[in-house]
Amino acid sequence: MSTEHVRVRDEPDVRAQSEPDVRAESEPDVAVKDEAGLRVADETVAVPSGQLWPDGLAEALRERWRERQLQFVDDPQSATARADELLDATIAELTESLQAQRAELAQWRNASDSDTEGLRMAMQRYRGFLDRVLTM
Amino acid sequence: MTATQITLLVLLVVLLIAVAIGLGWAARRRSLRRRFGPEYDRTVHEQDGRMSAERELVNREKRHKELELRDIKPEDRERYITRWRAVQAQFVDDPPAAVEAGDDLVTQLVGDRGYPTRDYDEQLSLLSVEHARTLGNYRDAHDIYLKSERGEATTEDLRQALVHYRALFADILGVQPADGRPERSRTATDVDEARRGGGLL
Repeated sequence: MSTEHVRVRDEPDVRAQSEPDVRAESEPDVAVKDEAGLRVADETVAVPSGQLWPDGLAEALRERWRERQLQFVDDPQSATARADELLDATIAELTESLQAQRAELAQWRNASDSDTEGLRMAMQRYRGFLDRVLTM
Repeated sequence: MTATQITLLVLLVVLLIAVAIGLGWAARRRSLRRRFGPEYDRTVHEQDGRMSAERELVNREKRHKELELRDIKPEDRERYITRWRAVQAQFVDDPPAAVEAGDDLVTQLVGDRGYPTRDYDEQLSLLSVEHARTLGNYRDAHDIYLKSERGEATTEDLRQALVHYRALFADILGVQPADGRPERSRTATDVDEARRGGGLL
């Protein structure tokens, strides 16, 4: 984090390019957009982007829901119970996903020489993340 | 040949003819019972007599033969199945509308197959020839539909109506459009299965 910080001071463009690469592993499709955003404003700090669900999982869960809705006509009791299970599993998944993103933000703890600038950027990321969770 | 012998012979012939006619009737009754199943008893009850009921059933068979029934094309079958699933899914949001749509869809299918759809009783009579076993379901469903139009049907009534409609629908189509029985293993969670993109219905 601190080495990056040094480079930020010297060559803002390098930071702008290297930053999205770190996150590109988990969110390849939004990296390009973020990169562009970073170039426009140097001070913009990367915040976990809006994607809470891996590609396709949300749609797959909706499909599960439709299955239950169809089942209702044949067995209301079991369909409703399974709807409850689906929500239970979905909420657990959401919690896990949010926790994983929070853990990623907590990397500032690992930096041995956390300086104020690094912490300031970490604060910004936390604020962005909190905003996103609160507007869910 | 004495007069007594002649008399005995005539009696014997008459008896044989009577037995033959009796066997013929019995055979016809058996075949009608087999074909019409629950509709046989229903018609006997309605017609107030076995003879006139059987006449009515034979008459239905005759009228049925005059129909030009058409096979449902595979692509139309798919379309019907898709539409049925939409109807069934709609139930959770609007039960009376789903039942109305179900009634519409069954009527359309019956018409597509080549049955007359204008006169409800005539339609039932003709359907009873090939679909006697699911016709009771259709009748029950239609009764609930009428009840629903008067605003007297409960949600449970309406749910049963849909299941009943589907029985005839599936019988005519030759497939079960969607019987929502759980298929997945109980161990995997929904999210696991969704992630794997597990098979749905």
